[in-house]
Amino acid sequence: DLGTGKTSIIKRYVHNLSSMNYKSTIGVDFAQKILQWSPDTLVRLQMWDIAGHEKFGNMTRFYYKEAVGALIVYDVTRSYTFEGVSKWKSDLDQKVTLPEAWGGGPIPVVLLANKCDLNHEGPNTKSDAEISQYCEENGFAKWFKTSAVNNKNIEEAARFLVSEIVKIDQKNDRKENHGYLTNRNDETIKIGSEKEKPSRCC
Amino acid sequence: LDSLCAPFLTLNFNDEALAFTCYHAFIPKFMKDFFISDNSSVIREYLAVFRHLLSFHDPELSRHLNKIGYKPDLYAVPWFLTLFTHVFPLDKTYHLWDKVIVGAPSLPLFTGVSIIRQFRDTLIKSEFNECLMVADSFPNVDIEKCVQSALSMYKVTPPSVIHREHESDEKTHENQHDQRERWWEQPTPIEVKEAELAPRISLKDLVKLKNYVLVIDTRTDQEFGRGHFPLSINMNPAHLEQLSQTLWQERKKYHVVVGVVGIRGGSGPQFASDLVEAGFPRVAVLNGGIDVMRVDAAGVVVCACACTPIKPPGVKGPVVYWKCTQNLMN
Repeated sequence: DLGTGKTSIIKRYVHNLSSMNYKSTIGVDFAQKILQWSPDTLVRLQMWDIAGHEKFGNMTRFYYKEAVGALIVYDVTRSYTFEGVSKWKSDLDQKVTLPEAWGGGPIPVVLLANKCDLNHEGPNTKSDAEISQYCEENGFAKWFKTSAVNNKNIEEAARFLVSEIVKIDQKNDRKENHGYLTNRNDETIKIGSEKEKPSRCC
Repeated sequence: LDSLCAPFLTLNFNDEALAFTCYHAFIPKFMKDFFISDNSSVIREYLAVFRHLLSFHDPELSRHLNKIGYKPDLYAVPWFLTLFTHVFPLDKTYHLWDKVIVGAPSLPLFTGVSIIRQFRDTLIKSEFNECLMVADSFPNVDIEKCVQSALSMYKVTPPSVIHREHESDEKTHENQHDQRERWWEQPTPIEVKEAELAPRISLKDLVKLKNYVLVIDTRTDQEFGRGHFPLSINMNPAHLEQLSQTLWQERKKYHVVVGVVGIRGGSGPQFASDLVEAGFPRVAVLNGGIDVMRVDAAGVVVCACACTPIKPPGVKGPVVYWKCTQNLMN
């Protein structure tokens, strides 16, 4: 299945727009947002909105290239979409690492439980405690309940992810005297926003 | 798939069955195997061939996009996977499909090349990050111009250049007995296709181009002396810079490299990439190299004339080339 709301989240975050029309993403879309992070840091956030369709599964290695952070989105109204979360996470861990200048290692990943504006109580609904525990066990930096429709927690989640990335950059900055981000055309951060593996319909 | 069936459905709104039939006839022609469960090799091949075609018709743009890493994977997937319906509004789709539907299965590839070429002025000045944003303006393409340029490129492109394994049903490996010897009839592996900047051309297509082509042979002069394509030039591939003036003066429409070429690449494809980078138009590598000329007659006379080395005017250093002057094929 498609449509956990990756594109909607990005639209909301970048353009502050909400659209009721659904159009699936094919391949990858791009969005960019420039943040005045601190008085002396400008962050250019480049977001790669990757199709959730499994027919592109094998091309994702290229789409992850040089990513330094990721958001994984699932749909709370369809609890089975949660199952894809670990698949995407392990795919990320396998295929992408932080740049050499940062000493490698996995990129920070934030989990988004999207569509929390909709009533979604069901027999398989995970409790908050369960999700927190899952995140801890599986190396997610944090998780957020989000809604692109109500603009809930999206700014917060993105801000948190960027802060994680900036933290890593600054840590290495001190060590090496110049950070990786500041080396590359004024701090581009690429964020893959992808979602769980979908089933076979189109 | 929803955007792909939309045109059929809107045109046949009251006859769902007819819409489905159209759809059903359309898919296998243009999008064979696009929707099998593991379609990645099909799509990768399609994109690799697209890149070859771009190199063939616009080496300068291809070189630039290749250099900055703006690969077709980043922009062309929705084009081909939905035959542009995902990108264009319906009126543009109709306009385009009107021509594509009666044309060859490869027309979408040419359409892709003409779309990207309409934005070449912007793209060629842009770095990677700007290119990503140019993609937003692809829907604004002038569709009539695009169709015309796709058709005219199609007319001058030899079919083997855009050959795709996944296009046709028939596998053309009839010569089971001597497959090892006739290795050029084996499909080129996808990784090789992706690595090479220029396409490969078949001997049959090369022969058809004989009056318009400059054949550049990059083997040693001894090998060249033992046999070569009539009227070809022999040169050391390392001397491209010094000899490019000489090659340009030939004023040929096509440039085909005969060199060391195997199923896994070789110095021939490498030199072809260098030619693309140097901006030569319509560059391809003869698939099979000299072997194919010896085995497959196909109207080729292998010339064995003894040429004398020519010193290019105004070039310093030990740079020479050989040029065959016997036009045995006319």
